[in-house]
Order: sequence, then C-alpha cells, then structure tokens
Amino acid sequence: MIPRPFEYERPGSVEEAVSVLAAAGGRDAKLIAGGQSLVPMLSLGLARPDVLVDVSRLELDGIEAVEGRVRVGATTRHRTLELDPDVRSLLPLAAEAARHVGNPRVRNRGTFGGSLAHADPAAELPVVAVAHGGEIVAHGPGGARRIPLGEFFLGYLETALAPDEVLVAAELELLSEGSGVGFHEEAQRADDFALACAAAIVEPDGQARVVVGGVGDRPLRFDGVPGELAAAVESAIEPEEDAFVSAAFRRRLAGVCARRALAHAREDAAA
Amino acid sequence: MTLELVVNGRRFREPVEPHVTLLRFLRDQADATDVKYGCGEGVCGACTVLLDGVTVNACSVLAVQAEGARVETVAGLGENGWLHPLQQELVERGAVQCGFCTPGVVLGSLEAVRLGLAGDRPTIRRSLAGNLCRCTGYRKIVDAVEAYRDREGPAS
Repeated sequence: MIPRPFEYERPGSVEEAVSVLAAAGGRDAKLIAGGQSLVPMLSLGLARPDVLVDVSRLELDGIEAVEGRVRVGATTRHRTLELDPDVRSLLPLAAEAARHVGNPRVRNRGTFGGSLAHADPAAELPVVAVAHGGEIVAHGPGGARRIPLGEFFLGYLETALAPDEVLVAAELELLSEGSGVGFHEEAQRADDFALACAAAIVEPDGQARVVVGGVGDRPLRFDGVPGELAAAVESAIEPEEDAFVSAAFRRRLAGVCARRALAHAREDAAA
Repeated sequence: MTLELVVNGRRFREPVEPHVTLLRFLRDQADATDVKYGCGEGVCGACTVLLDGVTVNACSVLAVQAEGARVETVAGLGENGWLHPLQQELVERGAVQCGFCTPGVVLGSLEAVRLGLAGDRPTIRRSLAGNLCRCTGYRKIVDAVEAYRDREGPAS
C-alpha cells in the first residue's frame, strides 16, 4: 500500500505541462489534479507512472456561460458542481450527478476534468457530459484542439486525448428553454461506485435522450421518445457481470435507472 | 524535495519523497498519529484532515501536493485541553466505541454542519457516507451530530 517511487513535476502553465509530457519520450508520464482516482491507484499498484505532472494549481477551474454553452474548467471540484448555486441553474444535471461522486471528501478534492480524462465507465460526470454534448478542449504541442464529446470516450479508461495533451475544459451544450433533466443511480452503498446510473434530458418538443453509465465500457447515449427509451436501453446494452451483480441484473438496473431518470426529467420539464 | 506546510499551527520544513502520501507524512514526520490509516484508498474516512479548510482523505493526497498548505487534524480541535463540543456529544451519547473512525467522523460532521448539510437525520446519514464505522451502527453518531447542530447552530 505504498506507491512505487516516481518523479514529480509541478509546471507553472498549461504550455509547460504539455512540454513536460512531450519530453517524457517513452516514459510513462501522467497528469495529476485532484488525484482521487490516481492516488489510490498508485497505492494499490494499479498505476505505476514514471513521472507525475501536477496540474492542480494551474487555476483551470471555473464555470462560465459562453455562446450557447457552459464552459467548465478542468480543475473545477465536484463539490463546486454539487453546491454552487450558479451550477444549479446552468448545469442542474451536473449538480444532481455530482452528489453521487465518491464521498464528501472525494468531492472536495476531485476534479471535473480529472473524472472525464480518467474515463471510468461507472463515473457519473462523463455520463452528464455526454448527455449535454459539446466539446472537450485540450492543449497539446500544436496548440488547442477541440474534441466532440460524442467522440471523446473510447473505452474502459480510454479517451481520445493524446499522451501529450492536457484537458483544460469541457464546453457543454446549454439546455434548451423548457427542457427537464433527471439523474438516477443505483449503487451497493451510498456514494459507492454506480452499478448503473442514467442521466436524462427531455426537450420541450417531447424528444428525449438518456445516457447510461456503469453498463458498458463508456457512457452510452440513446435518443428517442421518453416512453420507449428505457426498453431501448435494456435491449441494446451488453453489461458484464462482476463480483457483485450478474449481467442480467445489471441490465434490469440500467432500465430502472433510465426509467427513473426520464420520469424525473419529465417532472422537471413540467415544473 | 523539501516540503513546507503548517500542521495544527506548527510549521514543518521536511524532506519528502514525491510518492509519500499526506497521510504517511502526517503520521511519520509530523507526529500526527491522531490521523488514522484505515483503507488507504479513499473509502473509509479514518484519515480525514482539513486541507486549507476543507476535508480530504489524507491517504488520497500526495504530501507534495500539500506544499504551502495549512493542515488541521482532529488533535487541533478543542481548547485548553477540553474536547470540542461535538466530541463531547459523541462521548456522552456512546457514539465512540473503538474510536478508530472518530477523528474522521468529527471533522466530516463539523463540515456538514458548517455547510448546512445536517438539516435532518437522513441528510446527516448521507453526510457520513465515506466515514465507515464498524462498531456503533451510526445511530448514536447521528444522535450526537443532531444534538451538536441544535446546540451550536450552523454558524459554529
């Protein structure tokens, strides 16, 4: 339970962080921000980087509305998403989902960008990001690059980020006027990893989308009319069994999460 | 690397390796053995400390990330050798058995009360998520937090 030794760099800017990553060559360099997944993984020997590049002090945090989108800075803490009144009005889905991330101490330290870049398939915030849609803003040796959220998550702990890129923000599509949102999660214990979770957005024209997490190698998005989406989720997903639940149970649970998230979203839209 | 930080008002300037967690640093190099090593992976809350005023699991923060920070542990609470009022409530209500989770419960619950996240019993229980107690069944802890909240109010 003691991490293997590594080098530690604390660059003073995003550009410097990119240079450190680019200079790592064949060595395994990893970014650390809040470290709420990475430090336990280091302690458990599940991650064994040669170099850690600490971006937690780069002041990449903050939430602002920009041209039809909400820009969420990479080092914005989960706790800010959960408790900040501005987030409640701009990103109510993120506020609702953030309550389910880890426990209060994990939320005090963990960051939005870290959760997206880590890409744990059971994590809540990637599900929210995919439900909103929009773009990831990453900086690399060639400058800034925008990656559509629909193309960002590639698989288990795998994203479209290059090894020498730094995720600096996510720009999420604003919800349309009169739409409603809902989030539902089922876990073994309060604030444990999701067995399944779902984020739903119901548009004023009656169209809806639901994104499920924990039941595949990445967040899975389904679009359609609310009444048919939960069944669509259940028939389309191919969840795996694990030490806690069977694949069949997880499939049912995903349907339940989708149904309840959609129900919340319809209530929210009507309110 | 040389790490500078303040623990319970005491200034430290110590050599530290990057792979040392804040928990190990506090226990081994800063005499703060009131911070407990439980799970080591951010689940149990026994290693809760205040890092610049907010609770974190010290096992899940690298010591080097706390450079320049102000760290407070449960031993920094209370005045003139007296227990903090929440600690007093926990003792009086039998909410301390083996005591291993207690430092985390105290710091976590103080934060919950301060943020107004201890309004009713279900909310208090929710705020205790991530503070594993294997002795009390939580009920007496919730009693104590409720009593403290009523006595001190959210401002304290």
